[in-house]
Amino acid sequence: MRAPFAMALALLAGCRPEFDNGHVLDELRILAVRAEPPELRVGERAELQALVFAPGGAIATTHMWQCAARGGMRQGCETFDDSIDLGEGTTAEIEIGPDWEEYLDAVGLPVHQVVTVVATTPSEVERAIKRVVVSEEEVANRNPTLEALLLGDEEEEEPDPHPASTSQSIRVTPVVSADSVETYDKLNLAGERVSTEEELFLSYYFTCGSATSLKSGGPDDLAATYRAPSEPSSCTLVAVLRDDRGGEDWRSREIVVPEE
Amino acid sequence: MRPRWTSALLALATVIAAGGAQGQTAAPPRLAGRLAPPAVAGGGEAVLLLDLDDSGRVTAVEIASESSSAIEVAARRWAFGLRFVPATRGGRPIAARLRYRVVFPAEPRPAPEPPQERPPLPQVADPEAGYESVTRAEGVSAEPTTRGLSRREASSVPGSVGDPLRALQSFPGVARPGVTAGDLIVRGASPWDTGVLVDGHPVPQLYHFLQGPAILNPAVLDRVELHPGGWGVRNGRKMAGLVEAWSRRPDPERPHLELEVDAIDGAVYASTPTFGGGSFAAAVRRSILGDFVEDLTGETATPVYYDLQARYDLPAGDLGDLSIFFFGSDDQLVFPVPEGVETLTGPGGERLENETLLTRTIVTLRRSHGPLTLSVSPAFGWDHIVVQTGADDLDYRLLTLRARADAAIEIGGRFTLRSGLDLEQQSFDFRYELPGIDPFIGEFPTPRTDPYTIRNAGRDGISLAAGYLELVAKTARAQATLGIRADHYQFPEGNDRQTLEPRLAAFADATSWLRLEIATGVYHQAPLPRDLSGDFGNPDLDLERTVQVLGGALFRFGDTSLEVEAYQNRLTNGVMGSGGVVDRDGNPTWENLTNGQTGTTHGIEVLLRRARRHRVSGWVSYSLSRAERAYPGGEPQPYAYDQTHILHLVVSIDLGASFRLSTQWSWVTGNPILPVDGSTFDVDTDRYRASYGEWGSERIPAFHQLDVRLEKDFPLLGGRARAYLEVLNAYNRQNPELLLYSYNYEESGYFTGLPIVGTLGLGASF
Repeated sequence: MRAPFAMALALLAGCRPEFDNGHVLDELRILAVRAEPPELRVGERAELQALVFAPGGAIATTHMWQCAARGGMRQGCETFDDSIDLGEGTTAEIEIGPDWEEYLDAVGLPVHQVVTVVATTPSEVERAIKRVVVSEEEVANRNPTLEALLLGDEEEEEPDPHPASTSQSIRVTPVVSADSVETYDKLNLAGERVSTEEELFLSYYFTCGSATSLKSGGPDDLAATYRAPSEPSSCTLVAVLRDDRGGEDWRSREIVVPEE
Repeated sequence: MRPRWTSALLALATVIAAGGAQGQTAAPPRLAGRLAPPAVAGGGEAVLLLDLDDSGRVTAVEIASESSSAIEVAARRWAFGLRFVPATRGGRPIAARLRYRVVFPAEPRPAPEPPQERPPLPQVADPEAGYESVTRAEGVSAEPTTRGLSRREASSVPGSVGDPLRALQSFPGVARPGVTAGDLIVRGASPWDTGVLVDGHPVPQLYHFLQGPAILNPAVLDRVELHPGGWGVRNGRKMAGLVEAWSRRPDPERPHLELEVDAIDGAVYASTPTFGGGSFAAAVRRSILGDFVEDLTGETATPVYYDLQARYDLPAGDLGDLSIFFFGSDDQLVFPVPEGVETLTGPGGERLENETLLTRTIVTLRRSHGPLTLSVSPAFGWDHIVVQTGADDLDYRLLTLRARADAAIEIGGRFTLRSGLDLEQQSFDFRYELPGIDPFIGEFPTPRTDPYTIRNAGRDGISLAAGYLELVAKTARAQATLGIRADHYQFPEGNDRQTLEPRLAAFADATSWLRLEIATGVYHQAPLPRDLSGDFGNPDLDLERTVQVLGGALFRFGDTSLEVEAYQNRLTNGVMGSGGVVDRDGNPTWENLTNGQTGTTHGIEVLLRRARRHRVSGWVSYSLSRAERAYPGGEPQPYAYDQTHILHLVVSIDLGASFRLSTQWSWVTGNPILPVDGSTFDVDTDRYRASYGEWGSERIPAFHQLDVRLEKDFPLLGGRARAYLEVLNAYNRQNPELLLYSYNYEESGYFTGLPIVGTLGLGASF
């Protein structure tokens, strides 16, 4: 037998490590950070809100910092001397004030401001980064809006929890506002403006059960199928909507598989 | 007076008797009639390996030396005409293999013949059913280091099943390939840096997909040679090693049939004489494994490969000898990813499809006239590659037209002057829709798994032309080869490059048991086609360049040889990534790639080898090497293919009663990796981004594995058959192959290689 070719068999046979599914919420997570608005002019402010999930009812401490984008960003803003401590909490405010003008004049617009979010529980630490655009655009980016997350045959969201039978497949249909997809000018390398339309993408997370299309994209392909757990449970389903410019929104539903 | 070559055969009988199986009365094959070597224009010698069946017929002839085409043709015809009284063991006829060095006298010429340096009579070396290795090409070779395997020798390497191309990976200087690719990694270089030639023409693929067997059925191969460095000017456009495979002329005397089947694939080879002294052979092989994968794994995967070869030979009178060799290979992999499963290829529910089709038709016309040997070889190739996954969509069609012409003339018996042309025209159509380059954190990538997509389609071509001149000076105990090669590369978008490559190789037999060798040369190669793309690379890239220097010694102690070689390859102009913006046709464009990387690979290789005529035979190969790359202003770092220690122990034991036990134990240093020391969730892209430690500060754990093969040879319906049991990874080592991470890099684990696997196989030759 050809050893290497048999390796292919091993590949197919699954000699690979088993890891946790990143869409199952079973550990401390920062799922999203929304800036409202997601794009600022010099002198404007934005409200930041982090979507933090802590398993088992644990209390997470969240801390945010702001800094200018640069190399080594994966280390986080808090490691830089010129970063701004935005304080504790899942909400904060970012301001592009006069202190930034000299820097912004030097680098030119548009640029990013970066927010580092660190969530902590007694046993876990989770880090995330979020970009906020600083520009002089006449029409700034807006966050998309996830108006509803319809389960099964719902025509509009009904009060949670949504009942389900064991292992039931439930169609999940997101309802996105009509103005969520924006058209904007993108600068190419030559500095020319190119008209571009945003694309929306959804990511699904859940505390129990499973789902297909864990990430979906495109205007006609945001839906998913959720499969309820095989045991009586109460599950949270979270959908995070993103455009491709930093705009975000989210929505969650509770799904209950009752005792027989 | 009895001719001396017959005397030598009788000497062989003595050797056979001495080397027979212990405890049994062995008798060598005896020549049943006389057949003197014919005169050949220019004369010359050849080393032959003859396979005899248990009726004493010559069933196969291998040319184990580098001889002129006229000598090769004459030698095969002559050898197939020999008849023997079969060898016996314990009174029972057995198959056997013989090794000859036969000298063909020169045809009478009007001018006086130069004095012969060697007696024009054969010297018989190797008896016994077994193999004879082709450790080095003998005679006029421009390559200082040639490591090869006969088909029989390859069968001593468990895991290769008689495939000499696969067994090359047990030689020093050849690194262990990665788990998902079976390419040859020679002296720490990228697989792209090593050329693969079939009958003198390059092929882009040596093995079937996912480390499968070679695309050429071993039955159609005459010989296989690995030149790890210092090779001559006849070949170029690669800057590391070179593999040459030569197809086998079908037997013009009698038909043959070979069958082979095991759990991986099944193959048939048939040959027959044709009119006019010609001969024809065809072989076909199809994988079997894929048909069982679903049952074995529960995955609806369809890995299938085919290959087909056909060769027709015809003496073409005054034109010389004509051969036409066609071969094709088709690899198909369809692998649906189950719903709800995240994989390396993307989210579940998608379908991975990959097909690689390759065909080559090679025509070779050879003629010898006096001291002049000419060969002309046009070739035609067609490749088609299709890749479709959730993220990738690629369709690539390549038409290749090639021509080689080579002329060599012997001057005064001590010099050979060789010159030739090596021309190639590639025309390709492409269409792709592929993920773009991962944007920097300062940009706004989309939150998709494929941040953005590059789509393109078109048609283009590459023209390559080269000429070379080589002078070989030889004496009875030394040889020096000095050559120069000039190449012209015409790339798409009007970019062209020219190179001059001087090369020198020499060896000298200091004593009857010691040969010393040196070689040096300059080598260039074009960047990968993908790297010349404006979308993913840089069409203005320059050629990469290495300077190779090597020196070594070969010790011969009877049937045992020890080869020690040290080398250094220095790379300049290596392709590296670039984040710069350049002006291309008046438009600012990402540069993507540039030339600037440098590197050094140096090492020592040792090969201790004992011929198979002994009851216990095999080899020990060891490589100690260091392959480094450096960016401008940076410190050298270990290259991705660096494997410090590579050790192979290959032992074959004749157990008697036609049983043979072969084992291979390998120990290889793991490749360097880029360790992850943390991660941050990028909320805009919905993905975790790793932060890394120092490249090469960690390595994948060492690989070691024991493979065992037990083979029984027996007569069947007037032919020979064999059955074998092969056990791979006999002590079930869980060898780490790839380091994989969880979605947030918090967990890591190794994809491990093959567990213990056993298989049965059957083969027969008639």
